[in-house]
Amino acid sequence: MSLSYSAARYSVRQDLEQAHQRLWASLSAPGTWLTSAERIEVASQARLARHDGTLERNSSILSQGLLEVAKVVGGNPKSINRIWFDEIVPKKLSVERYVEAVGVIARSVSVDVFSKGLGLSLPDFPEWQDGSPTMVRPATAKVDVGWVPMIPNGREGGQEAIKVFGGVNANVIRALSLVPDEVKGLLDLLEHQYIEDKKVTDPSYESNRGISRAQTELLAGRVSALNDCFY
Amino acid sequence: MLLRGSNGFDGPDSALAAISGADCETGVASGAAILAFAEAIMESDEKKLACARNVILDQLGEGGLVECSAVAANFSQMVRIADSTGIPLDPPLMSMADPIRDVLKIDNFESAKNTI
Repeated sequence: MSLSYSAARYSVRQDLEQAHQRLWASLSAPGTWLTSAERIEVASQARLARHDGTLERNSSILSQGLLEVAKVVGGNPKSINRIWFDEIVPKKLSVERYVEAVGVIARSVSVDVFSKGLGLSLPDFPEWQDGSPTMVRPATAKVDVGWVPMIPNGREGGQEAIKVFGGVNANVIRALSLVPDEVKGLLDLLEHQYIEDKKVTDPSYESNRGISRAQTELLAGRVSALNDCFY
Repeated sequence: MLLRGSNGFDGPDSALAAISGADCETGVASGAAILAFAEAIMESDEKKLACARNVILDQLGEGGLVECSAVAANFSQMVRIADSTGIPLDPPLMSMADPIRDVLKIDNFESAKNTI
């Protein structure tokens, strides 16, 4: 099922709708470490957790580790800390599968929040597809500043860093680089929901969309604060 | 930090306190409406969100509502990535953040343990 905003009461930029359509298509394809069915079920369980985080749920598709990640990252990200992470990775879930699940959840949440903002019904998730994960791990990825391995900035990251995030980038962009396709998806959404990656650190840059940069940053700051996000 | 340097922002530092939830002047056009929308979209009160949406429509139009929804969507995504991976704030951003950490009260966040 393809995502569409054509029935929305308000006109949605075509480039934004297409970015969300690419995300939905990527959810339904086999990932790097998760199957198509796992990716869709992780996103679906994260959506359920956001709507009623108190319920314990089972899933015939997801392992306990993936289910826990969907529940917490989707429904209660404020509670995430190192102790929780260490309980999950690698005991219940490999770090590669964890990073991919975080990317899938985070990106799918953005579609739900966008729909909620416009007063739209949340879009149905796409059907899953056959196929196997590629299981390709970046050779340079290692734990440096965060909990999960990332492709290092600069020379140490080499061609992988250049290919995945332009050589040098902020930690929040590198964070998912253990699964390069998740960074690709993140950068796509960043550009169409907020500002092109290369322009983010220039506060004078205006996207000339419906709100000014100051209005954008005020909203971004408040959403981050409401989520208790220091970063 | 990016708010401080952005075009169209001539407000006081109290705008930063407003980001933390204080009832302060933002110095940003339609700032109160934007903050109310941010709060409503993060909560599950449909009536509150409908009211906030209508104020945004009145003040910023349909295009403004779409962009506010897109930005809220984007940062709902970014906070989950940052919190789930335990990344620290990048050194240049940390030095920029130092003078405003008290105003924003962000050191109290659970995620500050990872980020600082």
